[in-house]
Amino acid sequence: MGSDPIIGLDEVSKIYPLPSGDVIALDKVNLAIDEGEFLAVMGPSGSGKSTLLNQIGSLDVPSSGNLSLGGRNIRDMSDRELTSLRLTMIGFVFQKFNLVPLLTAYENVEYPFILKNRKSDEAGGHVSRVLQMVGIDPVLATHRPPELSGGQQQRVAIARALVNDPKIILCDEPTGNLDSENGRQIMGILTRLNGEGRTIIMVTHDPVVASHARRTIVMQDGRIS
Amino acid sequence: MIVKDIIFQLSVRSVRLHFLRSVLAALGIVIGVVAIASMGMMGANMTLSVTEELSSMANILVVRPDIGFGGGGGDRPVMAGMSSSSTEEMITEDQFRDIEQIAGKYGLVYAVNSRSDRIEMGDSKGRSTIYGLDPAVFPEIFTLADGAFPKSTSSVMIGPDLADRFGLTLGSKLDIGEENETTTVRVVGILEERGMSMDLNTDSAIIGSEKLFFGIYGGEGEYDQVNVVLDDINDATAVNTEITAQLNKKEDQVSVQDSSRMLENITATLGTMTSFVMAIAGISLLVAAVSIFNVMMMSVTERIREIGILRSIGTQKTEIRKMFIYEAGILGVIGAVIGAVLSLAIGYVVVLAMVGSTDYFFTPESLLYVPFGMAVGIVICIVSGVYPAWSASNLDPIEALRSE
Repeated sequence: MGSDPIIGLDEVSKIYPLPSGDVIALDKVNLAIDEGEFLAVMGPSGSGKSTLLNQIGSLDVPSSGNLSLGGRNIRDMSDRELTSLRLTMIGFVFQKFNLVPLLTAYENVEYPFILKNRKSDEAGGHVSRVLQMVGIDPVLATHRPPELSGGQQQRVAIARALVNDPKIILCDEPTGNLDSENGRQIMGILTRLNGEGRTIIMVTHDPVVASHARRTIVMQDGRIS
Repeated sequence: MIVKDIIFQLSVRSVRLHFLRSVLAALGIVIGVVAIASMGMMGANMTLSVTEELSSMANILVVRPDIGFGGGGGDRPVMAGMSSSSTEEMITEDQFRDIEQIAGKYGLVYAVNSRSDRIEMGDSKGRSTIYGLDPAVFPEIFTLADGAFPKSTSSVMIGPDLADRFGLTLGSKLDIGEENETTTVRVVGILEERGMSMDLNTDSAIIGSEKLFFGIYGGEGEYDQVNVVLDDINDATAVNTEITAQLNKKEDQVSVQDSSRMLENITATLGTMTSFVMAIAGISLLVAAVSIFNVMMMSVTERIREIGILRSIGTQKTEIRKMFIYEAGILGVIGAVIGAVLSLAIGYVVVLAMVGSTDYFFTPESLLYVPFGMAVGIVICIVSGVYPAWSASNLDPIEALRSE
């Protein structure tokens, strides 16, 4: 590899202290992910997949080891800096879509754009373009999440993840709540985004879904096996 | 650049989504604002009304001979109508002239003599206070209900209570003094009710000229008291000081009673009562605060997952805090606005019932309590939202996302 990886894990451990004893969710994981990669993370339940994704998504910080995103070690960052990092550099796509029920589909996508740019006069065209890119037309965009199908909600979630043009998209079982046709379409969108140069890290149980990735790692007991 | 406060919109939508719950929470604030504003307005109206009523007699200084109670020369609590009996305890003509010279430029100065004496009308006998004043001041200090001011030494005015008590009318004759030493006078005027006052208590009295008084009791050139009716109540302290400085130069000869102090004491007491009643009314706002706190905590609990989502996509802790503070503020503003409108209506009724007059209802001093009540309501709401907002912003995003 000629350049530094966009994501680097160096002996990263995550330990949850519990009264019954420490739970080691990640055990000295080493991983380097280059910009533009499409990585699938597989493994049985409780193997540490989601913990790994949360660490990379800066929702949590490692108990030990170093995790760098775009060259910066997240262990040195404040909560404010980590939140800004999530807003600008990372897009999340969740299994349960996680759209804000109080907002319309359009507003769900507009929300992070306004948070980042602090102005709404530029949002209109950009948000509409991103929604159209994932197949949500303006009429559908006026609906609230509960009024949309699972496939439509996941498209909106992808649009929300893309709206601030992040370098990294993290997907946690993105097709887990969808039928096969919608799952196929969502994977089509993710593959296309990867083709445009975005780094995608996807947690999945499904080998068929994982087959869309260029690289697959399998986790077991908090380690990459 | 158009800044769209999407955090505020989230708060508005949360309130709208739980409309009934929000209205019920705001209802507490409505009641609190109405209670505080109505009580405040009632107090203000009462104070203004009493001030207006008393200010007509609060601009009076009463100068009496100093009789050296305790040697301190302080004000002597002597009611008008209680006559002095020794010439050493009288205001002399020279002293009166000095007072007139000092206080004349600030208002009307007149001397008063009074004596309690026996009176007789046909078969009816009793006692009354007889006042002797310069007839020139009658029109300036008395208001007649009927008849005319006395012009001769055999005519008098009487107070309305005396007229009622003895069935006296214009033209009635009455005798003043002990048996066999009586002076007969004729009633030519009946005064309007004046009430209790520090300077003159005329409702049950007989008022005649100085000549009549001196004719009956003697003592010309000596007075029981000198009254000063000030044009401006604000001159009271200055005139009081000047008179005391001039007449009590060597020793305490006179004492000055300042009725404006009485007004100050009464308004201060009313102010304290108003504050007390408002504080009791404020308890309803405390109850409302608990209700708002409860609603806000419910809102946080119900929206844990949403908070997790918002945090995961880049919403700062401060913005989450702002969202819940906004929500509490919206409840406060809704409650305060409705409370303000209702407090105008309810306050009007309360003032009418308790004060008996709404003459001062629309004065700034009275209406000030509406924005005051609103401000207290809104601040209490926002304060009630601080802890829920703080707890929401400190939720762990991962735990919050797992919440169902």
